[in-house]
Amino acid sequence: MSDTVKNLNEMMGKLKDVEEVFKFGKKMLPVVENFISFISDFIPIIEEVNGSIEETRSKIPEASKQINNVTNATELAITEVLDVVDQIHEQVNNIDECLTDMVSARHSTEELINNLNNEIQDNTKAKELLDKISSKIDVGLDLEMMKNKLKDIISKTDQITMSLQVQDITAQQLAAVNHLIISVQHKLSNLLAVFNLSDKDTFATENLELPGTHFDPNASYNKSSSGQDIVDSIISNEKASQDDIDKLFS
Amino acid sequence: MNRKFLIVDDSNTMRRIVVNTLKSLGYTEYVEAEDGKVALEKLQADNSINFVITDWNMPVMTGLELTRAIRANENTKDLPILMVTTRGVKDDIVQALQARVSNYVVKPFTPQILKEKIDLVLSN
Repeated sequence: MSDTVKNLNEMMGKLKDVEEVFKFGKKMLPVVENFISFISDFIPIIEEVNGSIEETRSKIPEASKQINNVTNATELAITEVLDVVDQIHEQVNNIDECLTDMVSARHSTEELINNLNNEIQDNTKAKELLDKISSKIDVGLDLEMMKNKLKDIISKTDQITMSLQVQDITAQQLAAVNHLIISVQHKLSNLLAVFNLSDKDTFATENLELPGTHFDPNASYNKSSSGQDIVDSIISNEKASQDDIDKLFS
Repeated sequence: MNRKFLIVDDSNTMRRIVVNTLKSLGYTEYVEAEDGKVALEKLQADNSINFVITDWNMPVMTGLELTRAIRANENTKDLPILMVTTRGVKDDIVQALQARVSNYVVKPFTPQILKEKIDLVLSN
């Protein structure tokens, strides 16, 4: 076979390949058309998602500010409550001191009445008058009972004070939420930037600075003594093995 | 011996609650600090402080870092340190003990618990 015939055969083979490509392209055309149509429909959806993400992202600073406001307002209110509790303490202590003086004065008066009673044994009229005076002094004033009531008031105000620890615990919980939502804002910004849907430098609202993690995310207001019991068990087992410590938590 | 407490907590509320509790227990001398760094400065400036009550979670310097700093200093290494914190999980407690806190109280605490732990630390 001459070279010319050989070249023609090769050319025919390549033309058949080209024909196959055109046939494949003809089959693929509807698929490509559908794909383009799909993309055309998808772009507004992406833009909508982009808008939603940006809207959510831009609302985070306000949410964070509100959380901080709640923390500050609560701390201020608790400070006011503590001020009032301190005033109650002071006033109760003053009343207690007065009552102590009254108890002491009453004892002195009783002693004087007894002495006077001994001096006027033979004077019936004077004794009657003295009995009347004595009964007036007693007038049902149970000073010791009143002092005990004051102790109850102090005890109850102490309970109020201890319950106010809830402010520190909720402040830590709110700080944890604040940290979380600011982290979400940073993630959303990164997401928008990765998809080139928004330029990081052109955000309407800037990213908030991520606050430090000086809070306990697991803080909880639990008045049972179980938490302290665990601590005490560990401390008493301080020299025990790690396995022994683990058993306390199993 | 007179007791002078250093109360370290970033929460103003908690510092007041600890102060009020100490007063009700008869302890009237105290200084306050809002973080570990300020606490160290106060310790350096006032050598009459002989008991530290510290929170764990604080900005700038945590209670754990403060404890390590106090233990690492020749002048303060033997100071009683009571950790008062919300952190009550095993790893935290073990970590605090390894840093050599004298005792550990979980918030919310009662005056009885605070008294018990102060007495225990002082008796040791």
